[in-house]
Amino acid sequence: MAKRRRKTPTRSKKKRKVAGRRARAKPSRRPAPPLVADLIPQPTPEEVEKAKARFEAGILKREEAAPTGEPLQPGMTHEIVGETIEGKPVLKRKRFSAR
Amino acid sequence: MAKSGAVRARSIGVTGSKKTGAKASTINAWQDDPEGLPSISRPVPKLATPPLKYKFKGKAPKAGAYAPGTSQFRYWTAAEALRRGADFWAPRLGVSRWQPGATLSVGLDEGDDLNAYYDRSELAFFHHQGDDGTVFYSGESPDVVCHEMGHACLDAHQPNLWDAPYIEAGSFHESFGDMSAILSALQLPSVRTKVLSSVKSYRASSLSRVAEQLGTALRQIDPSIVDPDCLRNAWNKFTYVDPNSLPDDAPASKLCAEVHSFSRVFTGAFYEILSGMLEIQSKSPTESDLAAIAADVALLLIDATGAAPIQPNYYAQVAAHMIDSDTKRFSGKYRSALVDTFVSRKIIPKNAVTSLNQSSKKTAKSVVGVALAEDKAMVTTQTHHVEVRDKRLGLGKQALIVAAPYQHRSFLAISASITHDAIDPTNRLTEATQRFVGMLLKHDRIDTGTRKHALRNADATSHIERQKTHVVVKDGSNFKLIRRKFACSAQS
Repeated sequence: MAKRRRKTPTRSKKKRKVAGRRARAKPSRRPAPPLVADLIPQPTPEEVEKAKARFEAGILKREEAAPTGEPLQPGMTHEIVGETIEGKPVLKRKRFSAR
Repeated sequence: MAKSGAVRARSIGVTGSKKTGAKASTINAWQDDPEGLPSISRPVPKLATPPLKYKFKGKAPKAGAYAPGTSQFRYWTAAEALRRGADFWAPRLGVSRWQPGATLSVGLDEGDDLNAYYDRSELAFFHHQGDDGTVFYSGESPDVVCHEMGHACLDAHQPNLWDAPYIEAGSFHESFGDMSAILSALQLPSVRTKVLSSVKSYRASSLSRVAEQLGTALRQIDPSIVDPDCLRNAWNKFTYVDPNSLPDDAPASKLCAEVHSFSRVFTGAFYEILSGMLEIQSKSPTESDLAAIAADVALLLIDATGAAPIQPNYYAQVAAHMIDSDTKRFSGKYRSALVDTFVSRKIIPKNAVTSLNQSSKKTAKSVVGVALAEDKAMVTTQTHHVEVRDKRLGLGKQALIVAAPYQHRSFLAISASITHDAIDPTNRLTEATQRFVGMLLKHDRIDTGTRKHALRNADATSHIERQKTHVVVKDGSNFKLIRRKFACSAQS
């Protein structure tokens, strides 16, 4: 009887330890979900330049920019604040409009 | 339905507390637009409530239940919409002030125009008399008011978008304005009850129709420049195409590269996502479910605009970050609505979500923390200090120290199929900074003499001095270049 009493608590203690270890280890085995943002292609410098040029060309074509110092006419959102070394107009946003 | 506040003012007149002199606790206000849902009674808005305070130009009329068509009604309906919208966004934005300052100025009638503006100093609204004599006031429409307020909110949250020179960045700002109008309208239980079935079954509604009355006014000038039933309808079928391939102008029935036109792609996706989220929320949704998903989608938008790098493909960046935000905030609860819509509208490529679809539909909360940590690490900002020497600076042998911040993304969870550059950007930054300073010098935009951070108008005696955007200041034993104001592009 005495031998049995000594062995029984030792076994159950071991079991508890193992169970605890498994419970902690389980979540770390699952991989983190992939981030969609990482899989969106990054634009090349050429694409960035092209996008900028296209945006600015549209502003100028639709006459949405006024020379510095002149009041913005209805619908205008940008100001022409100067020109680049290459002679292209430099635009600066002055406001957002509802339409 | 009557179109003109002015016409109705003559027939209805003023009612309410004005006669009794008692302090009113309610005002009358439109719910979404003068041509939308009928006016309702609302608590008197407190414009000076922080953190997003307003101050209207001119004297405020006494609070009361005025009839539509009166100037007092226009004041209180604009005030109510602005307060409602800012109260919705403020806790989500986590900002303590507007971009221009603690209080945003509001000009309710700044003259003749069929438009409204946000210019970093104020919200400006206008009036215009139509061909039939009807006078339209843009500040009378909660949709228009909350669109402009949306610009101001996004500017407070992500000021770098202000001058981003890309069609998609400008278009997203416009889309955010319309989404702000929609989400602000959804803060009214009466609106939610009215539009619930339309959102559930993904149909056009007074919610999807943004600025009906302004649309009517513009249609009198040219029917082709606006949608047939409003200024812009969020219930649309527009899908993404590269805006660089679009024409500069087009009738409203087609997309063009103009930012308001192209904004409809993202707003259309947003309204469709709203419908999908409602279905996920409940198979038999109530108006409180609609309120709950409005709050959730706002968080996704704020997370995404805070994290997405500002690039030419900004729509894809925001969409992807909304999906990632849903993963971390809601364990992917709304993933199907987000992914299905963004992919079907071609805003994000299908291959970007393939691996996501292969993983379990809902992500265990235990791994969400890992995603969150990676997401935070994704976009980092570093500042390089570049030494510039130029005789024109007048610094002798000493160099000018120019801070050159740049953003880059770390690729912690990137697919093995995607390659990326690992080029040290230092050389490019140095070259770009030197070019930038050279451009400033060439255009005489650097104040090399005063050493003053700010220059009062009285100190700037000439137009050329007022145009100087940067100043050289002493910083210990060094000289550094700082921006004094925005009057010139920072593009190098």
